[in-house]
Amino acid sequence: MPSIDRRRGWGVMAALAVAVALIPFAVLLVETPWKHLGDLGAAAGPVAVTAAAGGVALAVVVGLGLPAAWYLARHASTPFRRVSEAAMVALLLMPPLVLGLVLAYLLGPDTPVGAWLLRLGVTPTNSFFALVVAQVYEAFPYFVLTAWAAFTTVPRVYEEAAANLRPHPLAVFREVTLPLAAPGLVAALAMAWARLVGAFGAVIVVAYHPVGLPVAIWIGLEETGLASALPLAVALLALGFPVPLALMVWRQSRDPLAG
Amino acid sequence: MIRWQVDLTWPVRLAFDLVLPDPPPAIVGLIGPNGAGKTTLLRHWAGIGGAVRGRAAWHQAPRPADWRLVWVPQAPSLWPHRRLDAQLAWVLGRPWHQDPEVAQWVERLGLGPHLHRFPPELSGGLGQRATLVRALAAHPTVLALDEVLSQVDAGERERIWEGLEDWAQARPGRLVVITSHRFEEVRRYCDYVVVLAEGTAWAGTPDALRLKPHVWAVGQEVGYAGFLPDSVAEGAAPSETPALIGSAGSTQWGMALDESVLHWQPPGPARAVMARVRALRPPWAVELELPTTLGRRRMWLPWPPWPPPPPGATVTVWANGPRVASGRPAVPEIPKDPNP
Repeated sequence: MPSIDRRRGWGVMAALAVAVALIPFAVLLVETPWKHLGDLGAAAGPVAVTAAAGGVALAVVVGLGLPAAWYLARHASTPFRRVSEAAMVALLLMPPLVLGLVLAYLLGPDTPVGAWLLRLGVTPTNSFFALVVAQVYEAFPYFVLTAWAAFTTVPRVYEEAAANLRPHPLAVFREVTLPLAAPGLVAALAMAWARLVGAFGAVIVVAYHPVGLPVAIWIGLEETGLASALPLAVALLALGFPVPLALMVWRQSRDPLAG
Repeated sequence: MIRWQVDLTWPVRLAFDLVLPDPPPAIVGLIGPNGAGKTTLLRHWAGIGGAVRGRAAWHQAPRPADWRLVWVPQAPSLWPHRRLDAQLAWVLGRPWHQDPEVAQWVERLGLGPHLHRFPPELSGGLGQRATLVRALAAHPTVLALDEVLSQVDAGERERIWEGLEDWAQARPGRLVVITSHRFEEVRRYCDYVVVLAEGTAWAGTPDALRLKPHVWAVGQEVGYAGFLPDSVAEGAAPSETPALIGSAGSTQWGMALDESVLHWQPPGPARAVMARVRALRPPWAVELELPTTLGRRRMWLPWPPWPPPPPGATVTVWANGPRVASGRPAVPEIPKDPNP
């Protein structure tokens, strides 16, 4: 058993780690010109752009990722599961800037995909569409991997019992799988939203316009310096934080599989 | 008529073709060592088994139009996030009290006061009872219970078994299949037992199987503790004297362990003898080949109630007079107690 002194040593280490984590918030608290936050009119446009594109992107991520995560957790063959996991992790590890370059190659007006999109009347780059695509790519692996893990934590026996007692796959999913996986899915959702809203690397390459919040911060920083970028940063935090934080709190308050 | 036709190669190797007696028994016991395929079969028949190689068919004639096997697994399967009454309502499609059979079971098992609770708040036995009622709410034709009443106390369990017997007899075609490691329980409540062992199945009434387990694996399941070593059988000579066997019930054979010597004294007329010890393996049960007035008969004598003799003890089998076998048993390799 560690002695009291040694335990105190570990406690100091933990406190230090927490302090390091809190430094950015302290800086924001001190440096933000709170008095002038009222005239954030300039931020309204980027906030609207990011929120709208983020909403669409989140819908795409969930619509595409949730069934995939469920299938991978429950029914996929081992080789398929391995390949999928590798693909998702590779996408997760890819630097966002590189991802942006790849997307530019994929969506550029001269490429087959770009040309086809143009024919459909969709502007493939520097458009709302491009912004959504970039956000989706940045958030997608985070969502799928976390949701996948969430489905995996649901003991199979609950689903099997439900399927045996009422053989209706959708009813079983709604009644048993979804509520039991909910805490993990909420974490996935929160993470996806935070990634979407803050997406910058891929976005700046393929979707400089319309100007979303992260790009607006970059422009402010380049043109007028830190002072004008900080209020925008606060706006970004305000947009990106509450949803994940609220979801996390909800999740901790009611996890049916905990305890 | 119920017929099980099984020919599986994976995940277990299991092949048999079994017709259950007619009229069908109310409760059938399915027993066998771990990995024999009990759970694989029940899950397959319940339609949740996952992939198997081969086939396992359940024929039933007449087959109810809504034939359905509900399998209650050994692991707790009540959904932790729903109250019990909500679970029953979800399975039934309406509130539980609107279904007379379910309402009766709720009352019988004393679940009424607990229906508003969540499963994590229930004790093990209460949870098992609730799982049983939830399974019955699905209105199964066949109810398959996988060791599900292990945590219910004895008196309560008795009542449940009686209730299940009534349930099975309430409508034609119904059947309860149970798996259990307690042969005594199986023997008490099952009219018929199927033992899965060594890749196939042996079936019969519990008493018939106990008297004649056919193979060692079955003997182990029905309560045999072991055999004396084969080497003991050497030197055993068949008696020329015809024997009167008397009752075949093994408990009536006078067997006693006396200072490490196994005495074997058949009841009845003194001239009854034992002819040949076919298999004697530690710890202590014997397969005997007996001359009878009807010819030779192979019989098994269970040897459950006594502790095995210490290693190195000399074991002698006496047949009311001439000693027919004696030997030094191998160091007893005590098999896993099938009835812990």
